[in-house]
Parts: sequence; C-alpha cells; structure tokens
Amino acid sequence: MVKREQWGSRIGLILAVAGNAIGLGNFLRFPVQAADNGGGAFMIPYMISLILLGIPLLWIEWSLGRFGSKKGHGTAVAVFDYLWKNPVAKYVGLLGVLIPLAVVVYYTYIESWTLLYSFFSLLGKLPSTPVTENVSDYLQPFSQFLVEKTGQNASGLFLTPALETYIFFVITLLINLYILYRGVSAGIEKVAKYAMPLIFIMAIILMIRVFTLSSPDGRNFLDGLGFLWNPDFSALTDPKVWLAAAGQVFFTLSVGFGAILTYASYIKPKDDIALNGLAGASVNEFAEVILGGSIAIVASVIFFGIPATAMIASNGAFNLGFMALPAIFANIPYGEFFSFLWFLLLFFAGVTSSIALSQPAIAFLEDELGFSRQKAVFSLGIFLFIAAHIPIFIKGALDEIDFWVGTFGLVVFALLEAVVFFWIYNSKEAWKELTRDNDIKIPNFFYYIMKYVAPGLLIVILISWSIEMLPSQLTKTDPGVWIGRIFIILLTVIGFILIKKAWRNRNGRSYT
Amino acid sequence: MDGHTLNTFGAIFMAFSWGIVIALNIYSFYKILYNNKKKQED
Repeated sequence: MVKREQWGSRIGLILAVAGNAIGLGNFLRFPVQAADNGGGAFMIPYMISLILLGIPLLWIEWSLGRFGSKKGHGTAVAVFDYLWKNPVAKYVGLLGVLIPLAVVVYYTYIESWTLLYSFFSLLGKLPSTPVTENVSDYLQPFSQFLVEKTGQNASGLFLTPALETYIFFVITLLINLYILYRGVSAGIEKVAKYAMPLIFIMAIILMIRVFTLSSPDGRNFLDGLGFLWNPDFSALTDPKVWLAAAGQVFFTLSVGFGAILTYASYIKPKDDIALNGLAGASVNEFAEVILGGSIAIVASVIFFGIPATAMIASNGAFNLGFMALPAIFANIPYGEFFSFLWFLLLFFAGVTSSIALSQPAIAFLEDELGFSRQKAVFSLGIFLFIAAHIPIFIKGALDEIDFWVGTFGLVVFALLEAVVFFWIYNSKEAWKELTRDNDIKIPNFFYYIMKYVAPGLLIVILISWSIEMLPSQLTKTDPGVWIGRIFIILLTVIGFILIKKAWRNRNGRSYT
Repeated sequence: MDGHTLNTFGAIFMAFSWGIVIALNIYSFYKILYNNKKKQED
C-alpha cells in the first residue's frame, strides 16, 4: 500500500478544517437568515440545531475519516464498503466524492468573481456613483456591473461573460490546482496557516470600519445590530424558522460534503477527533456569529436603512455582498481599500473551501485508482476546466447543479453517513469507534442524538424541502436546466465506471 | 430616521451568543494546549 500523506501539525489541521467550513455563507448567508427569521430569537433554534444536528454530524464525519485513515482510504467510497458489507455500498459512497466535485465546478467560478472584484476595487474600476434617494436606482450600476461581468444580460441559452471574468476564473483555478499539487501538508495546511489569520484580521478591520460608520440621518452600528439581534419571539412558533436554523447550521459546518471525511483521513489512526472537530466548529462559529453578523448587514442598515436592507436581503445574500457592500464602500473615505479587503476576505474564504472540496476527488484517484498526486491533480484540473464551462456559459445550469448537489445532495449524503455508521454497521461499534482515543469525552447522550435525533431531523428537513422546493424545481424545462441535470447524470456514470475499474483492478478493496 | 436600535433583549441575545462562541473557542484551544503540554511531559 502506498504511504498516504499526513497533516504536519494539529493547529494546521484545525485551521484547514475551519477554512473548509468558513466560506461566503458565514459572511453573507448567516446575517440574512438571522435577520429574516426572528433576529436574536433565531439563535435559540440555531444553538439547539448546533447541538442536535451540527456537532453530531461533524463528529460522525470525522470518525468515518479516522476509520478510513486506519484502512488507508480517504473517501466514503471505500469507507462505506468496509462498514456496509454490500456490493452497492461503494456506489452509494460515491456521493462523498461527486457532491464536493460538482460543487467545486461552479464554486471556483463564483470564487473567481471575488478575486476580480478585489482586483477591480484596488484599481478603482468598480462603479462609483453619488448617493441617490432611491436605493434601487443607486444600486443599479452595481447590479449592471455584475450582470455585464458574468454575461447574464445575454438572451438565449448562452451567457456571455467578459473576457476578464474568464481570465480571473483561469487564474483562480490555477491557484487552487497549485495548492492541491503541493499536497496536504505543504499545500493545503500551509495555505490554511496563512489564509485563516488573514481572514480574521481583514474581517476585524472591516468590522471596526463598519462600527464607526454613521448615516447623515443618524443611523449607526447599533441600528444594524438591532436589525440583526432584536428578538421577535413569535418567530419561534413558526416551523420554517426552526428549519432555516437547522439548514444554516448544516451549511455552515460543511457537513454532508465528504470533505471533512477526507481531511480526517489524513490524521494518524489513533489521533483525537472529538476535540479537533469541536475546535474547527468553534473557529467557524466565531467567523459566522461574531464577524459575519457584524459586517455586511450592519453596514447595509446604516447606509440604506432597514426597509431597503430587508429588500436587498430578500433578493438573496449574494446581492448584499456583491452589490450593496461595494455600493457602500464607493461612498466612504478609502472605500476602494475597504472594498478590496472585503472581496479579498471572500476570496481567501472561498479558496480554503474549494481546495477542501477538491480533495475527495484527489483522494479517490490516489487511493482507489493508484494515481500519483501529480497525475490526480492534473486529471482533476482538466476535468474542472472543461466542466466549469457549463456554469460559465450555460444559462440556468449553475442554479440547477447547486440545487441538486449543493442543497439536496448534502442532506441526503449526511443522512446516509449517519445511517450507514449507526444503523447498518453497528451502533455500539460505531459509538466505540467514535469515542476511542479522544482528548475529550463525548457525552453519552450524543449516542442517542447520533442514532435517532440527527437522522430524524435530516429526514424532516428532506421532506419539508421536497414539499417546498421539488415541485417548482421539477417543472423547469429550460435547455440550460437540462444541461445541468445531464452533467450530474454523466458525472455519476463516470464515477460508477471508475469504481468498477478500481475494484476490478484490486487497487480498491473488495468487501469480501 | 428609520432606526431600530439595539434593545435590551437584542443586547442580551447578542452577548449570550457571542459569549457561547467565545467560550467554546477558549475551551477547545485551552484543551488542545493542555493536552499538547501533557503529551510533551509524558
């Protein structure tokens, strides 16, 4: 068996795992979700979901990864095959490779926008218009800028992004591939050690700037914080608020991607997982609750007021980050510098996530097909470059792939992880595996949470999302939507063929 | 002014949430440092 890579240090591992979890969602999705779902009261279901869903699923994925480390495999394909002695297990485990891989296809592209915006901010090339009474009019040039750069104004099937957008995508992809090429310790870990402190420093600088902003008519950061934190207790009786909190906790911790499993497979077989998992989650929560809740939405309330912020947020968290924030920075002293910092922060947060999402595919090629790291990264690079042309140039494909893979697929895979480990394998053995060699004791009641509560909650989320979203999603018949669907099917078929080949060549392990 | 300033309940919820997150960070990193020191001594 080829010797697998290992993390160089514990702090490097924790920063890499936190970097995986900290992404655009911490700074954009969380404040919008909290403000939309009861303000401060949102934190009650949020904290409960963290204990009943987030942390248990996180520990399950860490444990599956450490189990893989013992066997010399870093993806759910082989781990499921060991745990669930059934020929179908490895194909089910493929979800732990396909989901992050399909997400990274469009995530890298969105990540490249942050690099482009950061660069354009530094050059003073972002729109700059005087403040107008009507917020929609004021935001128009910023909306127009995003539309032009991404080519969404084109009619027909094809998008027509600007040349610089394409160039920044290629640069972003090459940066990602170079980090992956350097390996787990010299690449991913080293980047995390620099990028994570930088993310926190940039976020704190931006937070201080936002807290010292005020509007001509007297609004200041206390109004922004009030919008986010003043509780609306009636929201607690609304099941949708509880689902939104559970969904937010789920997304923020990046469980259900299979990336944590792969990262955890590079620890030593007798290393701790409980404290490492908790530390990674703590760093992520700091970035979300404290920093994420204190920048974008607070700045927007100060600058635009509450009704306009609510309107911007209702159009999606993306509008807040890519339109409202640059619009605010365009009208404050040294705004170009702060705009540069904001998008660089998002870029770093994006890179630490996209390299994590790419790693399961690399691990699959190395562990199951016997590829060298260089060959695996080269193959992945070719695939990502070709596949990314779908979200870059096909209208509607990005949203379709994101729905099936980045929203629905995550919950399905997280549920499968819990079910395979605690129901199919053996719950007593799973608990023994999870609680061995840890630096902190996982309280016994988590056994029941992991076996009953967390899977139950995932089923509830899955059913409610199916009722809410599936009917409208399935009625979409645009050609771009179908191209997105065909892409996912094709990816699955290729994955099945590769698994079949790996097991036939005995590079992979037969369950018998 | 269409303000909606932070009220007492909002401040309590914010302080409580920030407190939990900060305490979680202090606890986990203190434990890591403590365990590292213990392992070095052993």
